Amino acid sequence: MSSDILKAEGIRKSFGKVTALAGVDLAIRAGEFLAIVGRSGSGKSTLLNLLAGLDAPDSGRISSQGRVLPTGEDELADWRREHVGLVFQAFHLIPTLSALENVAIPLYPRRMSDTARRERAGNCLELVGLSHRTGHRPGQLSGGEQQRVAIARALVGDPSLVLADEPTGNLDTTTGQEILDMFERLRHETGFALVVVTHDEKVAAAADRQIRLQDGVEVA
Amino acid sequence: MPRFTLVWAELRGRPIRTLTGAVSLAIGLALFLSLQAYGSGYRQAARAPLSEIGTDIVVQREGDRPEAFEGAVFPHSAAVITDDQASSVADTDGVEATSRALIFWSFQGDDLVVALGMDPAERIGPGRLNAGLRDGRFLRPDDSGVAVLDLSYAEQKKIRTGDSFTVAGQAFTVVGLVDTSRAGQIANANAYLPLADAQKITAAAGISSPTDVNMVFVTAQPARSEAVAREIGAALGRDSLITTPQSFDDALGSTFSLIDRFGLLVGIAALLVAAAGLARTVSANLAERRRDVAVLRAVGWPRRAVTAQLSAETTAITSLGLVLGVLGAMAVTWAVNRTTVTVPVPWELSPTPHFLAGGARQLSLTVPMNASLDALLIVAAAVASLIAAALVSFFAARRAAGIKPMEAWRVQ
Repeated sequence: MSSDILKAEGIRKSFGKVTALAGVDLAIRAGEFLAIVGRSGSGKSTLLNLLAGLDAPDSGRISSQGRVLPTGEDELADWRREHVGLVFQAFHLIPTLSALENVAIPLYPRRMSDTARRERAGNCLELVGLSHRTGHRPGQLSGGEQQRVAIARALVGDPSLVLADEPTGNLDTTTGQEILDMFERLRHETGFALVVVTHDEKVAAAADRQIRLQDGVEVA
Repeated sequence: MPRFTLVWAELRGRPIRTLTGAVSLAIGLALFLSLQAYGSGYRQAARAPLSEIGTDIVVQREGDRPEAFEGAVFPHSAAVITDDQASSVADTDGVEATSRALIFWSFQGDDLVVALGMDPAERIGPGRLNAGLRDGRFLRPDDSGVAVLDLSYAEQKKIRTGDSFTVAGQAFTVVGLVDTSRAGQIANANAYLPLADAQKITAAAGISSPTDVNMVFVTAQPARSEAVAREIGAALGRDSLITTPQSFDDALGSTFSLIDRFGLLVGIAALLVAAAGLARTVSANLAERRRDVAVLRAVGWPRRAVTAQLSAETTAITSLGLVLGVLGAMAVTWAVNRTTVTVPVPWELSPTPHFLAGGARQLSLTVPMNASLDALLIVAAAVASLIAAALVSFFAARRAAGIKPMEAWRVQ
């Protein structure tokens, strides 16, 4: 069995006449920290979305642990729920829900009791140092705290892969470094593979491996 | 299955939108329900004159105008009904009970007494007047030579209980005073006598036989009331005067027509407002939640779970609107019931000689409105609203749940 938990081969994607990805190959190994770097418009966020199954490539193949990703929307959602955690630059928290409820969101489709769900979400908030903010809504939290809630939400399903799109992009330098340190600590504690899309060279430097994109293709 | 903790969080988290949706539905529903209640309450109030004396049908026969106003005379709206005719009324299919009475005018010099002979043992018709007793006692089945007077008439004539009172030259002892104003002024008289005494007086005057009457009060099986009235009318012939609840509806026809038309127009407008409010709530909900839906899909919610969640939110807002609407309708109905309505009473039901002041005038009765909400209508409106909301929200939510997260966020 391959140690690659996710593999992309010959991925192409265009938006109208604009080619975002022009044939990218990529393999993500279990537990590694991979940085996808490149300038704005280089296709790195598009690649991350394709890896997450949030969008479909025009051509090419993406497989998870040897199996091609399903094409159905609900099957993809099931796969994400079981294997992938997502962190976004804009946090994407639901404003009407508390921090605890936001973290618990991915667990609702799973068969588990309310108590177990809340306990699991509470543990994840504790992991990111927010056990004292469980009842607060996103609007009552700082940017750094919101991103930590988003990280807790990404981890609550115990994923083997966390995909993060510019996770420090909306944060100041100090808070961004805190988030990065937290990712590293949690990765070592729980063993998930981390793929971060960034244009920040300092973030990229912390990764085990880098892939650099330019005009939709990987460059050395 | 929708997650109700999340439904509650969503409704609580967007209170303005929640209340706007619920209140717009509530206004429409409250208007619709209270208009129906007002219409039915008005009709019920209009029938109060009959219901007050516990009868469904009053049977009379139209006679000739009296040639002379001396002694005992029948009003021309109350010609003789023979014992056989009264019995045939009682035997009509659908009739549950009858009560007989004899009304006549007694001219005594310059004085006039409207007298009504009645059987106090009967539980319908004038026998119900005992509820209005204000002094002394009411007539008893074995009474003879006694009378009960109308309170206002007695006060006008300064007659008290225990006094002697003369009708057509025959003396009666006044045993009680009764307030008849609540009885809808039907069979309204100055003096109430035992039926046998009244029959003796009119027989002695040569205008009837000792067993004749001129009013029959009837209760009928509710569903057959109008059919029974038609059958009795046909049996008694063209000169029959049959008063039914429909008679009062006919008397207030233009008013009812106005209420019905107004109710229909406003009811339709109210339902349109409710429908628009509901549609606006659904569309606003989905537009506002587009980004949230994308989040749910991104973190692994299947489309059907998102659809169920969004539908549950709309259904919850609809349910809140229903509760508020019913409460609103109850409040409006309560306020309506603080008002009164004036109901005209046909002259023949309370005949006063036309040559007396106001004698030919149609009487009227002011009764409190008694509007009530129709439970069946509430259930029907609630079920219809919930079904409409569920259908609208299901299809809209299903469509919304199909969005791709990246597309939603790209638009944002």
